[in-house]
Amino acid sequence: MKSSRLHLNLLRDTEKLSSSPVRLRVMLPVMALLACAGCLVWWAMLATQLLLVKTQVSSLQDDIAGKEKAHANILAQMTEAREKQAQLDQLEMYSAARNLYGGMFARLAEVMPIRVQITKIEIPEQPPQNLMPPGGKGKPVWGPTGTVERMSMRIMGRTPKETPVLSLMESLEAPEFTNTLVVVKDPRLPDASPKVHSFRQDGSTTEDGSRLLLFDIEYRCQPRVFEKPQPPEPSRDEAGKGKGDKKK
Amino acid sequence: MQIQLTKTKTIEVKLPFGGGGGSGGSRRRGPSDVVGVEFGSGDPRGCPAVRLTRKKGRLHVYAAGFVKPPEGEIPQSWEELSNQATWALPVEYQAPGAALAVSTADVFLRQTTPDALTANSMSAPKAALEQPGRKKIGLRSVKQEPAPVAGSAGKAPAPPAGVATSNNGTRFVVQPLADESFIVESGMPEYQVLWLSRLLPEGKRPTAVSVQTYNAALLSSVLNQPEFVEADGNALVLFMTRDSVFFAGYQEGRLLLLRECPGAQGHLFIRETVKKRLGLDEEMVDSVLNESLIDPTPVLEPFARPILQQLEISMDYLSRRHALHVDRVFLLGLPSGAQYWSRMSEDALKVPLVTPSAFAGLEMPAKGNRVPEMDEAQSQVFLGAIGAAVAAMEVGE
Repeated sequence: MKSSRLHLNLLRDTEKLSSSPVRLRVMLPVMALLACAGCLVWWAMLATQLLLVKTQVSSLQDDIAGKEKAHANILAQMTEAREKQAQLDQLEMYSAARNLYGGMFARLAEVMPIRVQITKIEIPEQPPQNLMPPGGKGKPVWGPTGTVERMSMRIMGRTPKETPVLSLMESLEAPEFTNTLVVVKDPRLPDASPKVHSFRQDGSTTEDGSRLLLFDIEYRCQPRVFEKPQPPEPSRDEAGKGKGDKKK
Repeated sequence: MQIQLTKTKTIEVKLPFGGGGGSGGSRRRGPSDVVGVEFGSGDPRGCPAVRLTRKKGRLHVYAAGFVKPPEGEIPQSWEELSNQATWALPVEYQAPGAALAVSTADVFLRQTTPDALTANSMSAPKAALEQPGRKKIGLRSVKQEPAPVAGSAGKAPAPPAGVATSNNGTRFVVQPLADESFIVESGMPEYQVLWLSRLLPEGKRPTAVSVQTYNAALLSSVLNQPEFVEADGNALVLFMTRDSVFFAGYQEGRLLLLRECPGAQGHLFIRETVKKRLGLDEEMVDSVLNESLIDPTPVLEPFARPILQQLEISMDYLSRRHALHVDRVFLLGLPSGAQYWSRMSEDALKVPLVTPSAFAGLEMPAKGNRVPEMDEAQSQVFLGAIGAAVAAMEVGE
């Protein structure tokens, strides 16, 4: 059966009234007023919060302005402290890089053969390096460019024959010298030590008329290590105590 | 959506998705809880009212009975419109919406053609501006309609179907019949519609969702009758009102024919005649018409003859023009003596008249105290209220 379409309604949609006690035409203005009031309250809250935040901002700005001088002072002090600390570190590194040769020289006198005359013992100083980067302005800053500086010792002297020199070189291989001097005998290695620079006959003669031999030998020394000294490791007793405590 | 600019000028705004009503192209389901009230029934018991609710696709009677009519009279002119009455219905009838079936002298329902409607509208006198009673608009005016003015110059466009329209102070609405060359037109004075629209005040249940003429509401009262549904909506119905008789033919539930029976009297006049001829008092008339102690057929026959003639003509028309063969006819609206009318019809046309209860096809409430006890004949008084509610619920524009 199709739709009957028999509703001959004489009432227009605009004339139909709502049976709901909540009427749209009443509620709409009320809701509009409430919405406006809500917006006003919200705006007032926002304005209050904005005012509060602005006050806090200005007080913080005043506070920051008052502390700027002290802050700059602290920053300068911190920079100075860092510089001092760097200097101290540098000094500590130089201190750690100090090699002692006095004992070695004292012992050298004891082992020096009679027929050898030392004319010169030289520990050549490394040429100073400018730490200023290329193109840097101002005074040059001298100092080691690396943490390790190679050191060597040259022994020059005279002898009537070759044997005493060899004896001297053997003596310098003793443990009391190897703390200071490095002995690497393989001549094929580039860092072989000692290195015989020259062993030649001198033009002059001795009193007995014999000719002397001049020698120039370079020994590589232990390098200077520019590093901060490591803190001392705990002794075995202390480590054992620690283990024992753990076991307990 | 229609916006009324003045009393007679309206503009129509078409909203997307079919909002705001329209010409029936987009149909929606009506409300699910409506009280139908017959206004101006003249019944001393009050205005018949039936509250219907729709649950799971079925219509349930929530309450039925008589309600006290409102204080104040329906206006008979624009000047009386200011005397607005308000009406409060009892609690059991306080549905969200009310469908009013109005029976006053000024309402009309008629079958016409679009051309005739247009010509009539263009040349209609200012009926509503005149003194009431001088020119009665009713079913009988069908015969007095001017002939259709086909192709007349300056012809006003026909109003859209299902949309209440105002013209010359008259509010009317049209719907096409199943035979599209005809339309049915229903209307009443504009001021009466405005008065009725505010009769049930805003903010209280119910408010008016529908105002129909009583006869228009009757057309929908048959839609839920089980025998009507069984016949797939193909039926001929004889409506007998208090002061008129008309036929309505349906094809697949749509109105196909609306014919007023000229010269026929309504059941009030027939009842009065029976009372006078048989010398009965007021209490005895209904018992005589409903029981078989005294045969009132000789008194009824003069009234029945023109009606049965028209019935035969209508059946013949439906059979020949629309191949609609009718083996029974519904007789609705007659509160007493239906069995005699059926017998006379069977004798004359071999067609019985069926008078089912007005509540047939509706689910009755479990609590019996909300519906008075009544037989089929007594239930006919609620036909207009039921029809108004059914129309408002089932057919939403």
